[in-house]
Amino acid sequence: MNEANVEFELGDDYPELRAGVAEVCRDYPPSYWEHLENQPPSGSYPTEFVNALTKTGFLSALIPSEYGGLGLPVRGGAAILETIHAEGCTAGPCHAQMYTMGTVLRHGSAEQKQKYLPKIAKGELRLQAFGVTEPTTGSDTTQLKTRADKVDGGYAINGQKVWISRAGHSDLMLLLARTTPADKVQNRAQGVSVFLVDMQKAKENGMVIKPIDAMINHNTTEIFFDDVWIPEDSLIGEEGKGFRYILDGMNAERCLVSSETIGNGRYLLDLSIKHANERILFGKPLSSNQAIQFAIVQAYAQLETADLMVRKAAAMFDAGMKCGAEANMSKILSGEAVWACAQVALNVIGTAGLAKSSSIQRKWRESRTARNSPISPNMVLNFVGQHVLGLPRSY
Amino acid sequence: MTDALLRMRIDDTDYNEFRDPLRAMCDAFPGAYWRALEDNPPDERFPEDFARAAMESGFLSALVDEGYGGAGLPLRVAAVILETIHSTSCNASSVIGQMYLPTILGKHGSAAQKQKYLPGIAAGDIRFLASAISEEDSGSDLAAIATRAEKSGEGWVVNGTKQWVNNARYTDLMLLLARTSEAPEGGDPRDGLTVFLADMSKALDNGVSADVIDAMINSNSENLVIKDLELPADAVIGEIGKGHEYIRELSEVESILYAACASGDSDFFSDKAVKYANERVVFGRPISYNQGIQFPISKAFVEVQGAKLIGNKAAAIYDAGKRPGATASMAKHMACEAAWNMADACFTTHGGFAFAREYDVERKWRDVRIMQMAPQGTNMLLADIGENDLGMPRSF
Repeated sequence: MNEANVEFELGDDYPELRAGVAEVCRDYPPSYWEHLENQPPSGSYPTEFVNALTKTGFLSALIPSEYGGLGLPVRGGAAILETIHAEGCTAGPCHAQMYTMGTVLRHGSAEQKQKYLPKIAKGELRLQAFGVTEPTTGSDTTQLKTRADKVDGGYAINGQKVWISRAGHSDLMLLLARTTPADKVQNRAQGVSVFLVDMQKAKENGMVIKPIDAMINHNTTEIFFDDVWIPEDSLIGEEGKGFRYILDGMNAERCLVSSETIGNGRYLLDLSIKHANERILFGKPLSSNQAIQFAIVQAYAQLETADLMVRKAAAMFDAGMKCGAEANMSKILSGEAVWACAQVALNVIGTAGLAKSSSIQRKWRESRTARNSPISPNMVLNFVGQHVLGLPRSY
Repeated sequence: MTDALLRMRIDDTDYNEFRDPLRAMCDAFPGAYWRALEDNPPDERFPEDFARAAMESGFLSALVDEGYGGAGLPLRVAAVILETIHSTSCNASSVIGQMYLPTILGKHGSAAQKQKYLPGIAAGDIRFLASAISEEDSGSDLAAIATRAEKSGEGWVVNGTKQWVNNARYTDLMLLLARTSEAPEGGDPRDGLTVFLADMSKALDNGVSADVIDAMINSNSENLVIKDLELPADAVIGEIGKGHEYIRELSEVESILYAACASGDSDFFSDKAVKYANERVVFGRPISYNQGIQFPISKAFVEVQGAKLIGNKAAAIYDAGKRPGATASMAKHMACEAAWNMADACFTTHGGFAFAREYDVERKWRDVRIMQMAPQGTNMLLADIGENDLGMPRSF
């Protein structure tokens, strides 16, 4: 691959997709999201919104057309997710439907792909949960303690996962568990496997899901496994190679969630500029004060910069190039940029932005989360230091 | 907002066929060369040998059309050239004018002016290193320019002062902005300004006196007193009274190129910081093992990579035949902020040694700080973006 030939588009790429997504989003105004937040955690899932997006096929963007998806590159998915957020909605409850299937697509058997992908594409099956993080390991993934022990006809799962979003609303979950004890492998990254878990059956076999009430409506949960049996054909790819499989998918995930972050930034900036231009204080628009205007501009410049890195990372991913550095840099640049946008929005709009009826405070909370999840900014800096700049591993 | 479907290449190490020979050229002017210049009295600090080598290399003719002997290259290549120069110990401020000032001739000069000057500029025989715009009482406010050019027979007589004019004593040609008529009432207060081309080989000490400013950086800046400077009729570039439009257009190119200089400095600092952090052993291990050292370097590096993309975008818009407008301002703003953060991380990494001149960290660090204020200051860049990209009112 000759790097010099890889290009990306500037401005509103995929205009038809964006227009279609915006049309769906118009039916889900801020009051819809506010109402959900007033429900208990178990009832706060945006079912109608997710169904509407599923019906239009947008969530199947990345599934190849032979399995009934739209067959778009990652950048196409990114444009969809960015638009959802730029319209004031949130794709958090369903974005995993778009990319979690990537592991099945890249590493699953022909039978698994045929069995699951068409149904995922149609929305008949929800694959929205990704079970990696554990209470005692966090970013130190290869130390995970959840075990999958070979038993008759399948595996017995024991352990605990945490911050597993949408587990209560998903038919399938991708699960990472250790199949060979850490002291029996040369390298900690080995001996870990990926399973596609049927959530209904697993619940019948003893899996327990508890919702976590959190600062944002992300339908996140903790999951307990006590000798939960899953069949042998749940295994994706080869046993013991799971860590590498999920790393493949993480770059796509980072491109996609970074584009949601860009969308949030655009939403917050649009509202800030509109308010600053319309609000008259001391006889002139708020925006004629440089303390207001320059803060908005600084956030905008950061966001535009981050947007280019997101596009670059996606272009490289779609061209089959290594894009770990760019995907990580997208994540940290977009997270910092959206936080600048969120802070300026609260400052410009003032206390009115704190009202539960205002989407500013909701988007502000989402923006803060974007800086921690799904990867910590410290881990991004570690990656850049170690793998790009040639500095030593510091942790 | 940029038009959709304009495309941009992903790479930031493109045009290596230019980068490699440039680095070789710059190797002949190591830190010791630039430090020695700073030891000279203020009026003997111009990097003549470096400037001559840069002129002779042909790289500075990047933006002059091939029809006039130039290289006729995209703006992106001009940016790569400056980025590369600044990634070494060198600083291009002595010669950057030669690269972008001729674009005003290429776009708005008469056929005769182009024929007269561009081939010599492209060959490096005619130096075009200076532009005289800023004044004591105007600064960024072009409308307040008090230097006047009055019609006298066929030609013009100019009177006034200019300040912070780089390289005025080392150039053959100088761009000069002067008022030729009052702004129309109720119209744009910048109307009535005209761009002139002053032949400094004749004008210096014969209408223009230059007084060097001793400054924190080696910019060879001068304060000019212009007294009864006679210019011929054909010294006017473009239409009389439309100078501010040409200057705005020129400043977009200038911003993109200064952004490239800042990004080159960033490369200098990140290389230097990484090398020093990996070599310097304190508490029994290289200091790069400490996240207190490593993370500021990595963080600034990420900002630099983002800033380079905005620079590439602004150049891509220009190279597609469109005006980059506020995107040029954004490119310069982000590149200079990132460069400052990278410079400061490098400075901190070096600890006390950052102060020692032989490391060149403090010299480049001073250079980078200036770029946040010149040629366009941060506040003017932000105001440009706010007004022209985001539709907010003029705030000053």
